[in-house]
Amino acid sequence: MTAQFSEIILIDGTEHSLCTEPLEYYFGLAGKRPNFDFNCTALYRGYVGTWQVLHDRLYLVGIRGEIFHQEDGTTSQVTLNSLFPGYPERVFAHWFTGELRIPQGKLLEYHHGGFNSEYERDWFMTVEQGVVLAQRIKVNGIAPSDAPDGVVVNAATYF
Amino acid sequence: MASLTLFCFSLYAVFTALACIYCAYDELKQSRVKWHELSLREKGASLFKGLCLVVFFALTWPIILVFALVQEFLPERFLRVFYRGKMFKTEPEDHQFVVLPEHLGGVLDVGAIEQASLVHDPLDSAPAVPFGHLHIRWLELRGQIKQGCHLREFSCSYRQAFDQPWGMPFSFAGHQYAGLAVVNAEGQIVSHWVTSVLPLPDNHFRSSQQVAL
Repeated sequence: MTAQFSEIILIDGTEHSLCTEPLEYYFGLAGKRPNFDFNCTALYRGYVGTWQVLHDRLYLVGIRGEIFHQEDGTTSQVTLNSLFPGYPERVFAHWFTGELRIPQGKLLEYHHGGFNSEYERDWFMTVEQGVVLAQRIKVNGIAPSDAPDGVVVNAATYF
Repeated sequence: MASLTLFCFSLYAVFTALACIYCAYDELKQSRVKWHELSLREKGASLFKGLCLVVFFALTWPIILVFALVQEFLPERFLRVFYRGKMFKTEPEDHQFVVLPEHLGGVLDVGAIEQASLVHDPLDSAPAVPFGHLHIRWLELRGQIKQGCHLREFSCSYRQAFDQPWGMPFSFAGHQYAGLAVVNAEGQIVSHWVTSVLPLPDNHFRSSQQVAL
């Protein structure tokens, strides 16, 4: 599988890459997943969610993507309100329990699959029912000075 | 897509042309004679080979052309359906997640579950009802609790990639599933709902220094 584009997370006003997909947990627990359109092998899930940690709570604050309508082959923009009716601005991710992985620093080792590439540091947030309980930073190594900064996707097929 | 078709078509044409040239070269190399020295029968055989190649190309190039036209002019939505079908194959029945009797835990009280699962968010970003945004799913399960049925908890771990029921083959491999199951008076599991998926420990990342924030 191709390396995947990450989610986005805002922490203290700064934008980071998030290599965890909390929304997939929601779809899993809800028992159904919207038919997201995709035209790129680096974004199999078909959307990019924007998350925010506010007062130690995890919120979904935006989503970019399109829903594919099988019956007539058309697509429509997905919004927070279409996924969570009545909550167009912010959605508390109470369904999510697990670890958020927020890679930091330069690329250490590239793996062309999922979120498997390694970066200098991983910032982990332990979340229980949407509430951030603990944080830790895992130091994976020091990359060469010419290594790319930030989450990297080297190749993808668009169709 | 268009460039891929063009590339395939060009490759096909080049290979056919090379095959023709090679056949002619091979013919002359093997015979070691000039064309006018060949007998009428040999000339006929050589011409027949060339004719066969021409016929082969004449018969097969429309297939490539049809392929190119389909790629070029078929509405994009048909292609998307085709590619979606290839990428998100429906999982076989025997790979679907099921709750087995050995996964079941204790009997639960519906009222206690509803109380314990109430969601509260100070920013009002979730409905203040049992299981919050997943409330409808809870109502569906609760509706399955008929006379004589009771609610039980369950828990199990799944490590295989195709055990998750919602069709994303890379998302939930290696997770601990927990949830609620409706069990009837005969002890049969009538319905279930996975309420929690927790990652199982893995050793993907190499051991390294960890710093608490």
